Amino acid sequence: MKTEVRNLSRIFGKTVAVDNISFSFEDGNIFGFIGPNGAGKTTTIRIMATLDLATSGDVFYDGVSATLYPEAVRRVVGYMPDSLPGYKDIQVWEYLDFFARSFGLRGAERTRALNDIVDFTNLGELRNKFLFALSKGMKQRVSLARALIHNPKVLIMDEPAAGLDPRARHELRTLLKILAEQKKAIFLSSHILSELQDICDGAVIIEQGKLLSAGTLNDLLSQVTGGTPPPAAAESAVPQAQADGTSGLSGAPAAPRTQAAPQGVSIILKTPRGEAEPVRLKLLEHPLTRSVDLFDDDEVHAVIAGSDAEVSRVVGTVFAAGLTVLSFNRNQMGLEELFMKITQGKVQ
Amino acid sequence: MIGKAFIGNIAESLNPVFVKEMRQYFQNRRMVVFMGLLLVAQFICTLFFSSAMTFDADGEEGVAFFLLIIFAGAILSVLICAVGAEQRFAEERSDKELNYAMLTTLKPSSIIMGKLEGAMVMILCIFSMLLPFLTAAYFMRGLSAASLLLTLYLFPVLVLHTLAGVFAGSFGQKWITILYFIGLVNSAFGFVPLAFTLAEELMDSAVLDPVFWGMLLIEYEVAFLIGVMLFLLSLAVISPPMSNRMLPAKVYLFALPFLTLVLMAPYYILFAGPDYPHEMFYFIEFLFCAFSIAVLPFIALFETPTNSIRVYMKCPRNFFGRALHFLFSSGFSGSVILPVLILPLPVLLIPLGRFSPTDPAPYVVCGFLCILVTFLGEVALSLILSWRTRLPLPAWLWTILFVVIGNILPWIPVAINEDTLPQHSLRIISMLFSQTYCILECFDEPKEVCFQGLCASLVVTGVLLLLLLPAILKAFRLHRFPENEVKPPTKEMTGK
Repeated sequence: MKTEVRNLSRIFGKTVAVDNISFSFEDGNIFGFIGPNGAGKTTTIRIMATLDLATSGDVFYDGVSATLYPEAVRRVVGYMPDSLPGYKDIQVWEYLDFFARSFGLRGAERTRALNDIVDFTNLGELRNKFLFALSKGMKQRVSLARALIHNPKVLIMDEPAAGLDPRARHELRTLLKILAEQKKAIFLSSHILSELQDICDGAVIIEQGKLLSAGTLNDLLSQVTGGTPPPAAAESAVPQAQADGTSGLSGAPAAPRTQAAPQGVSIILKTPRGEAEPVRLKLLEHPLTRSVDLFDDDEVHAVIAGSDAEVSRVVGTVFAAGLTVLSFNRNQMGLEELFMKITQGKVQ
Repeated sequence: MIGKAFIGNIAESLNPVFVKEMRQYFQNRRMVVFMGLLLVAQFICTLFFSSAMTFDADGEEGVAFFLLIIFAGAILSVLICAVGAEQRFAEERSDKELNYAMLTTLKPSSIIMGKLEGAMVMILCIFSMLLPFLTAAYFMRGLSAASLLLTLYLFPVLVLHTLAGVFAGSFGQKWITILYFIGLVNSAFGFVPLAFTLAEELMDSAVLDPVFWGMLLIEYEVAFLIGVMLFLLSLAVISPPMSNRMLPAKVYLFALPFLTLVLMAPYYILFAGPDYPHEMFYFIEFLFCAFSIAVLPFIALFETPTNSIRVYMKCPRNFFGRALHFLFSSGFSGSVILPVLILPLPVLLIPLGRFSPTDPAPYVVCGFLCILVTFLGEVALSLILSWRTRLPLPAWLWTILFVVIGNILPWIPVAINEDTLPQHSLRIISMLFSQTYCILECFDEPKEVCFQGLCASLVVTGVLLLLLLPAILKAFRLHRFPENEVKPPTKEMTGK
């Protein structure tokens, strides 16, 4: 199922919460939605979940408008909000049963859906507990179960990892990966960028309601570093962006999950004392060398950027020259660095 | 097996909100404690009455005991069911839980109905808990079976209280909750003494009097009409902004004067006689017309400034259909025009009143109501005007200025020299002045003053309507089916 946000704007009085943003994504992928506080993330997510109405623009699920057909869209979209379940005097299974009934699940179908979701979210031991007696992490699991009870194709999550301990976060990551493997499209906002980096295939970055950048992680890193995006991302994303004016997440096959794009390699070389300078000059002559620094007259720190094959050739020449290699690291720019580079920290 | 399957089918067809409400009610500790205390209190009362009292032949103690139990049940029902529904609904709204229920395929009407059904079943539970003790009261002498009909009077009051609770809770705002409690206390002050007076009269075995049944019928009809209004307003409050959420309320208010006529018909057929006060029917009818005319403009204030594309998608393409759709679905415009359409109805229904030419009382009441309605209309219209024209001042401040300046200015020449300005023109300039003056003067010279007051109010209302006319015409120009074709949802998405 293709989810497409098209020219979406939301204005509250004089405040432009969301300013004409467009992006799209498809099923089987996990996309992060990042931006500073007050950037318009929750507003966008609420409109996508049919909880709010856009001032202009629309959200389409396989071409079906969320504004015109919210009832139809709700059958294929699951929404996990940033707030926790708050009903009183009700047990976990009763709570989930209520939502299953509300989605029109009846009889054996409902029982099966409830059992499946309780197993999937590991709520078996908690099913007879009252909601108020649950910890935050447990409530988050109940909230996820509620969002998934009708087996939606698109899952929209607002700050799902907020306030969770490391174990709960790890469990959430695992669940999300399983859901992505089940061909669900997952769109989640989070402030914990290291969490997103581990699981996301792409990201949408907004600030002050405006779209700053959107694409697969490789695309985004390429935009920041000015490098060339890898062929897979370039082929799928760029035509989409040109065709409909969106920023082009659509159709991008998943880049290998958990890896941000390489930014070259860092090499630390040990030279005989006083011979570091000639090595530095030699390295600087190479077109792939980005920077070379000297330390203590016998250590050279170099950064070499390029494709894997190109970098391999340079490293081969270093070894051939008989220099001692102290360390050799593949450089990666994290989502956090990317976020810091793209955004300016402004709020509305 | 068939019976089990049958019960299973019924259980599956229940409203999910009702099922949830029931689970919450019976798992609420306070609720369980209340129930327990009720049983204990009744048991103690029964023991006390049976051992300490000596019953006389006409059974007055039995009646007192019966009344005590009935009113305890009524008060508990209001406290537990109506207040409980209000509190829980308000919490669900502020906790955003209601939003998540709205993200399912549940309709807003199912949510409100589920709440109401839950509260009603709890009221029935409380009254069924009282049954053993009512039986005891019956056997302790003196309680006539006919007097049990008193409970019929209580039922609509309890339903209305519950609906009012659901309506107040649907806002999820603390200040509305406070208003609701003030209303509840006020209602208790009015209701309890009235109920006791009524009970005393009923105890005189007058229950089979046609007047009793007539009053009961009217009570049920009025409760029904007000209850539907509360239901529709609750629906409007919780409906998403993209929907035309005031549409059911607008249709209902427009139909209300006609519906009243239909509901009054059985009363006429069953009880009308030669000496019957026909003007009373006219006043009831007039009252509902006045209610519709006054409330419809206020509804405009709760509507979104611009319609969503969903509303336009339902707009017919032919002119007549489009005009009709515009009346009921055009945000503020229809809410301003609809009362103007209802306005002639009270005049057309004057023959229904069969007024006596020598009795001025009907004119006084009619005039009073006319003034009240037009005044409310003026306030609503001025609010709409300030909202539409987007003045730099907030709407409430603008309205206060409008009302205060409009009413103080005419007093100045009066204070200087009352003879310099004819009072007739004063009434036209100042709306509040004309209202107050007319009401005061009504009792002395009803026909003339009422007419003048009405004219004055109509002039102000007319001017306000004229000021709003450009905005209404612009809204009508824009009110049409959208040009772009939209892809309909697939079968999988609609679930059909």
